[in-house]
Amino acid sequence: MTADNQARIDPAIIEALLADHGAELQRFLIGVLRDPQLAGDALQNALVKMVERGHTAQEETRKAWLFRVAYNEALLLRRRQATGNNVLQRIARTAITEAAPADESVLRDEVVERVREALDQLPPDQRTMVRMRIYEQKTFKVIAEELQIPLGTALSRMRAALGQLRARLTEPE
Amino acid sequence: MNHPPKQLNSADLDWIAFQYVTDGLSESAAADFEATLRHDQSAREALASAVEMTQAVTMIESVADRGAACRSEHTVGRRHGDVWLAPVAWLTVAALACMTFVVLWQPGRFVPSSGSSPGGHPVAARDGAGFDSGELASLWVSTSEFLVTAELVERELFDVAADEEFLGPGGELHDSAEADVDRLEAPSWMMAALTLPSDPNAQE
Repeated sequence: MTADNQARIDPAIIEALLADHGAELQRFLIGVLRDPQLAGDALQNALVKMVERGHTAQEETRKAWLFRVAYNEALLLRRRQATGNNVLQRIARTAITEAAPADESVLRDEVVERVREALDQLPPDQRTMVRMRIYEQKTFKVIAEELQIPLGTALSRMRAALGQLRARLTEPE
Repeated sequence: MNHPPKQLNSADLDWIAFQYVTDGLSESAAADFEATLRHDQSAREALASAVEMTQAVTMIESVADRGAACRSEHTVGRRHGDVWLAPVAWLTVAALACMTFVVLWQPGRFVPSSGSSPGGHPVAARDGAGFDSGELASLWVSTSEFLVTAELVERELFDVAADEEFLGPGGELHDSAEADVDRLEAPSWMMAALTLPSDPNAQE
């Protein structure tokens, strides 16, 4: 056994890291790359780096280390690949077509349920804003024109709605 | 040129991450955020959360849209599916008419019997089996109304506008519909029963 092998991180640690943060890391990479396949590639590359150099990361910062390495890998991939402009369409496609088994799915059922509940509790004007911006993919300018409200009002409604949705997602079960 | 990354609070990070995910940031603002992503773990987590929320909302709205589309198709399908009710309605009417006919033609109902009241009308004799002419006429009127209503039901199945043509706001028959009732010709068997002579002995 070489010194290099001895220095490598315990595979069980990587397994545990993936179990705890794999889905979140994948979502992060989708956010950066706007493409689930590229995000998968970046994740693979990051895991290789983790195996090779993960032992250099302190235990308390392993998650941050993994995210940082994955981000760098994502930027490398992005430089190599031309990514299109229709960001929301690809992210939406990920949500709809990824019918992976529950443990592999990027989107967890309980998250969907929480967001659904949060959406139901939103005031109608905020709910409309969320739908128009995220699902219908309209710009705030277009939304403001259609609803005949100032652009600032549209932005503040969306921000308020986002705050409520985020609070619902992060509150303990 | 990128500006030095600023310290952002959680709400700001969430908002900027959402804007970044939905491609709502200017080029320079997006570059600033990407610079923040290099060193700020909370910004990375905010981005992951923004992606998660965007996907969840998209899925929920998509499912809601598909549900609405299915409900709409179901409603249209049910409308077409109601056509089968028309023959059933007519079969029911026919069965009721047959039953009425059989009941009215039971032996001894209209035929004068020796047990009739002396000097009384044989049909009018209320011996438990007979009907007087008033009752018979009333029966016919109600049956004919039923027939017209059944016809209206059939028309309604094919044309909702028929409701307005035949029924008032309270569901009562319009005058035109009542005219339809009058148009129904009384059957010969009923006319025969009504025109029986009042004295049974006069027939002999």
